[in-house]
Amino acid sequence: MSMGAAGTQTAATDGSAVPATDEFLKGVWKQNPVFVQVLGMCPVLAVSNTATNALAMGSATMAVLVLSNLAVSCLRQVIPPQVRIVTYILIIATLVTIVDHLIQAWSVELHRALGAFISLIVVNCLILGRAEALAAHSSPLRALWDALGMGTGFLLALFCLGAVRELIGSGSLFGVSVLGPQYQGWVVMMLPPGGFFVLAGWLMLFSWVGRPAHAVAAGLPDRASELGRKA
Amino acid sequence: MSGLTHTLLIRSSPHIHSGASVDRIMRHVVFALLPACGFAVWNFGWSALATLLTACLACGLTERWLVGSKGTFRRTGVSVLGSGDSSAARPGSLGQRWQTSRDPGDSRLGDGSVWVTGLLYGMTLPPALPLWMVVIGGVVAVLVGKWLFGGLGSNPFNPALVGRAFLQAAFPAAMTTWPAPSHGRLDGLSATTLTWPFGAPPAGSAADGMTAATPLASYQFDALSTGTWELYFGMTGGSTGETSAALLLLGGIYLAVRRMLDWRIPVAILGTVAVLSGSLHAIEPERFPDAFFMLGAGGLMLGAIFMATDMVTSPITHAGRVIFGILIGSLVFVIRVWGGMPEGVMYAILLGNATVPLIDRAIQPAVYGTRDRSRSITGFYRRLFGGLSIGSRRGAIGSVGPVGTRAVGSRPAPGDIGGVSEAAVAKPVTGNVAARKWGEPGSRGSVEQEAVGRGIGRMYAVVLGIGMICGVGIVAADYWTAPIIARQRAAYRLRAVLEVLPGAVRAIPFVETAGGKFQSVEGVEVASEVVFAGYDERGDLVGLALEAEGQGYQDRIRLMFGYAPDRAVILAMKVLASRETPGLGDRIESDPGFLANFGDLDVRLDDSGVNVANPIEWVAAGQRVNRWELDGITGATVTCRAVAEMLRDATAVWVPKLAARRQDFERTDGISGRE
Repeated sequence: MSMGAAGTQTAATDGSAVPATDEFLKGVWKQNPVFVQVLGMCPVLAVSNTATNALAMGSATMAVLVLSNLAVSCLRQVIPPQVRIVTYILIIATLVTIVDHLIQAWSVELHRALGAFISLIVVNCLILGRAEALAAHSSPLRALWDALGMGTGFLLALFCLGAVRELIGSGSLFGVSVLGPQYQGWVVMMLPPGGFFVLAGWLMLFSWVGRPAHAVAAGLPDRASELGRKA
Repeated sequence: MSGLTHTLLIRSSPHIHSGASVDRIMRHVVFALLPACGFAVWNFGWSALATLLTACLACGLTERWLVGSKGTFRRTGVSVLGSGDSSAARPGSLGQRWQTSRDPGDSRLGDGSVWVTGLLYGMTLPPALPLWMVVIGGVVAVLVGKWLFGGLGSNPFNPALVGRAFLQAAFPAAMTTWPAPSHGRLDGLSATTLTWPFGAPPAGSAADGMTAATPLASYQFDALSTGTWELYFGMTGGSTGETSAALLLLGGIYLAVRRMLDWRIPVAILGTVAVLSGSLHAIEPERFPDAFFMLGAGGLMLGAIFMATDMVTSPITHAGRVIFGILIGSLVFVIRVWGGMPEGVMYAILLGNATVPLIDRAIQPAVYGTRDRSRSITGFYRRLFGGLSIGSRRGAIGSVGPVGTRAVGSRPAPGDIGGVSEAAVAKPVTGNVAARKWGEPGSRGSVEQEAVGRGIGRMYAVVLGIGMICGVGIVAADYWTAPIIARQRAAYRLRAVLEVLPGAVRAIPFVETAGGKFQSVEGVEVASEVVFAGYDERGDLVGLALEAEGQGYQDRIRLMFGYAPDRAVILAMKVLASRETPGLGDRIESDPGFLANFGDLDVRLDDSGVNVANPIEWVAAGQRVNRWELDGITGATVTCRAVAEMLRDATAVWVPKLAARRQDFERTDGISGRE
């Protein structure tokens, strides 16, 4: 890993020297906001029906997350603790409004497809959660790395859902037909229930792959079936 | 060792066994279903037989794969689904349920329940459904509907209906294509049955006149009733096994007589539907169908007799079963009469299944020897809401008391700033210096009061300051993006205009002036009163683009259509905004058959010149004869009809006006078009 040098960049106002790469990868993999923390389910289930929507929603959320984390971290000495949540929401709502305008200026169609969910980024608990849990008592640099990691994790997760749903739902990826014109799309995958099904599939995969080492070593399946035999 | 041959068996209750085993009951349910299945094959032909057999095989093989040959739940199944070592041992969790279900002998392929599931599932499907869809639904029924919850005895929902509900959501078009009964039934399999796996069913089959609306659909959409004789003997379109109400009733009576089915559930369901429709029909005969029709049509008989009575997914007590039946009956009636779908038995039963734990909790018989409080309202509520203890004096005080006392006692009056208690502030939640100062022990008295005053002032200042910065940010963003957004919207609209006016290369917006004239305008913002005139390269008028809006199936639909005044036809249509069901209603945007309606859709004026001679009319798919008729899409009746009505209303208003003032649009000289 050549990123080792970057790890020393972490400023240590809070005393802990976590390498930047760890801060970043934590959000992408170990504490993935969707697959591990199961946060922000509303946009995850609602706007992951196509790969394009998922990427757009993920990018918008990531932009808001990065900016809000930076703003909160910079203002952390200023904001009184009694009104911190109000202030965070104020900052996040402003950023979301700006992102909403930018998306509208970029593409009317995309704005239509995402609908109210852009505005609903305000109440995505991932963003407020990161502000409260990390940015409020960390240096801007650490908050930035954390936001980038979490944002990337969210984007990746949304894309994982969106790609599978679009592929099964309409046989295409990014609007380009992949499975041929004869493919019969599964409409349920484009509807909210499909989001639950695909999310369940990914969670199952994650918990299977990410099983703790001792469970693998102990041979969980064997133990489980032993219990079954005893019963 | 001979002394040990007579062992004393210690078992928990029940000790008296009726002799009825799962095997035996399931065998008799299959017997009871066979007449209706036989009739289905006679009525719908080999396709129905293929559907039923495939459904049974798909369910059976899935069960076999999950259960394994030895009768134990397959290892991979447990480890994938369980995903953690704790779930198998935690009492009361799903894990424990799996453990019990994994008990050998408890869930075997041989218990026959899966064949009943498969048969019932097959009977709820349209006879000519592509077989690969039948297989997928069967896998979902057994895997998701039954085994994910722990197998027979633990599933909260009827597995057959879970499979069907999945298919209904996944393939709504195929699931609402009903072949006509007795139509070439024994010539061979229907064209859609043998669709290549994952392929779309051949599109032509819907239009070749082979389909028939179910009695409920023709009642809801065309207000046509079906004869009682056809209805009860099943000579109608519909799902494979649901059409013959009489044979299903016969099977139900057979099972009820053999005491393998509780008559209370079907009687409660059918009775509720009969009473509701009978009384409302008596009040308003033209709005509500009569009771005989409601009972015989659709899947009510199949659902009420064979699905709702599933022993696993219905309440345990007699009273509970009656409540369950009344609930399902009312839901069926509500969905059928006021819902958007013609049939609602499947959703009614699934919703009823969901309430079963609640019903069972509320209607508990008193334990022998205790005071029977189940009949009092207090007892009912207590059972229903458990720990909330409404009405129980002791419980109410007990549950609220300690929490309330602690909350009151823990609020220190002097340190309380803006509702945040001292204890909360004292926690170093943030790195704020002021907070730490307030929280410091010993800083009491006047010093503290002063600090509090300063803190509150600062609090307001900070929030206001940040709020103002945010406000400025929003205003700046709006100021910067507003013109770009306006440009984008105009471009989007122009694209739509050029799309509905084939051949046009530029378009000019016109508005109606007070004198009834049309005048071109520059840079008009989005408004529905604008008419766009499209011109080709030589500057000749191609047509006029208009917007129309109306209520669709889900929400308002907004569309734009092109009108050619010289030929008096509608050229094309583009949906601007719709939230119609994916796969059904939203096909108005893509279905080639539907879009082929446009191009020469007739909107000629009559002799008086103030009315459209033939208002646009909706007809069923493939029935278009006249040029003013709009060919519908199978399964998207409501949406297609909405589009036809929107076009009819819009043309009735605009076409006479525009045709009269045609000369306003002809001149293009001196007007710069918007590219």
